[in-house]
Amino acid sequence: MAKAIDIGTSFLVGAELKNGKEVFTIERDAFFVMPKEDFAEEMLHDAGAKYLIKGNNIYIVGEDALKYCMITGKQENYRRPMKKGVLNPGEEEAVPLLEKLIEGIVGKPSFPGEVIAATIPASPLDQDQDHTFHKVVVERFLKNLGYDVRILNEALAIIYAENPTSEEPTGKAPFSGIGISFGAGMTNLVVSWRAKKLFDISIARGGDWIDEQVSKVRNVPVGKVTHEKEKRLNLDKVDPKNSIHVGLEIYYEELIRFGLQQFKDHFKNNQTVLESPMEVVIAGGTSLVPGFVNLFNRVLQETGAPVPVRNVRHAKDPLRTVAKGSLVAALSMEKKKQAAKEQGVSATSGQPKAENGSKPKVVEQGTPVPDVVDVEAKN
Amino acid sequence: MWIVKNSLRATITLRGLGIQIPAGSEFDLDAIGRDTAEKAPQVAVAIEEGYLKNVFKAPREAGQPPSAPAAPPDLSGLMTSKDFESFKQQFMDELKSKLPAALHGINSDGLKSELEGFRKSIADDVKAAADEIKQVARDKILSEKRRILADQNLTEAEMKLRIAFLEEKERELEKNFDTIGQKIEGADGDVMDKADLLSGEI
Repeated sequence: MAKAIDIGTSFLVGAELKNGKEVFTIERDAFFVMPKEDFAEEMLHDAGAKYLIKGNNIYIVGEDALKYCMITGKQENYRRPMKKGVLNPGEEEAVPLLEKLIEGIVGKPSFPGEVIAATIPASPLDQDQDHTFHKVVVERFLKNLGYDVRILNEALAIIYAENPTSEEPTGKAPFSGIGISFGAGMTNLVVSWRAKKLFDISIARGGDWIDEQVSKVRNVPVGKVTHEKEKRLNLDKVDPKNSIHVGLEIYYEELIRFGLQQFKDHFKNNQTVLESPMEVVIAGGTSLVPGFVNLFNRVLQETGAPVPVRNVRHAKDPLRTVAKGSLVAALSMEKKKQAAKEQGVSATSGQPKAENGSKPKVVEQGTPVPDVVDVEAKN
Repeated sequence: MWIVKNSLRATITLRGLGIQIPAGSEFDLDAIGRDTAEKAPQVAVAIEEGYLKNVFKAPREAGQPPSAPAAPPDLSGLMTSKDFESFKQQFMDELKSKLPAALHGINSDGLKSELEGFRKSIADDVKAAADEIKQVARDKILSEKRRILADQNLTEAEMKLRIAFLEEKERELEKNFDTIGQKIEGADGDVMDKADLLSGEI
């Protein structure tokens, strides 16, 4: 009916409805390169590995890429097409590989022109990044597959998935709140009111940045830091004798503080005045560590926020919230397209269809003419 | 004159015409003859694709020979730091050789202090000139750095080139799978409800 894809630095998450329930397809956003030697392809095929072949190289993709990296110990052959939320400028050869991964997740459209919502981050404040190329490549590829592509800010997708509300004099305003996505490559924040994006920022720091900083100051491999972070860290109970955990706590706090400070500094330039306290919803893999929301609350108390905050909560499924919200948006768009078709209105022109091929009638005043609405304005 | 500019970040080579235009540089196509340049398909394609941008094209007059490339700016009048140093040295040597004779027989404290003041003033002027030269170099480096950073955003032509390159690479790939990834069913089942609600808001 409609689909969604969250193209993250660490994981690709697809979403669609099957038998009334949302089904997510998750794959690691990575590949492992090896030379195409005798029997290599045969062995990989027998082992059930997913791979691509180009010239004299085999590219093992997804979770299998990480497995082969660990088996062979060849870290330098393990590569990621994405860096800091967008296509890795140093891995341009990997773009076609990423496209095949995306195709493997979303497949071909169920019908021509099926809506697909794809998330991209906003341009980061703290880094010069080639954001346009990333957007153009994603749009182009999905269009070539036959989809009607809608691009969506990933923090706004959190709002659509979790539906925070604010109390207004006229009643509860749905899809109103602050969505923050703490990803591996980037952190995105959006302020939304009734599903409209009022303000957004992005910073080029995320889980990878935390790992790299701790690795530098503690002089340990990044992989070890990541392992400690994902398996053993609890921000509510940091062991002061564990130097890696202490380092992680410091940089987690720094990440949150920096993000909130940027929010405060840049929101000043916005014309928006919000009086009703808003709910903050947090998602993203970097927020999975136990104690993250408590730490966020503590830092928020210290730094403050430019809009009144009612409460802070974690998304129900932080890893898949963005994909779920994108699916909500895609389904909503598909519904509107269907409704427009049923009313006999051309979706692109907004004019009623001529029944016999003659000049279309002028739309009478007051007749609802749904436009094809982009889910969000341009970044 | 027919000036074109290379809008890419790579050198453009127009094969068969013996022209290479470095990234961001301008070139006068009249150097190869207006007729040749206008008839060359390489030039037409480069302009059409946006690799070369027209900066200035003088109207062609009948029988007008191709204009010579612009002469490089005349830098002969400018003083380099080397020239300045050698002038300074020359001046000091002259001063040293002539001063003892001029001072012979004169034993005046006033004159000595005047000369000391004169020497100090020259030293200050030389230092100021050296600082100015350093500042000019610093400003030049800064502006070059800013230019390079600003150019990180791709032009439309560069975007086209990269897309064309991607399409080429896509055709080379063979895969052994149709679908990929682990499937997980969501627990909420509220996606349709939220989509209905969102439809009312957008």
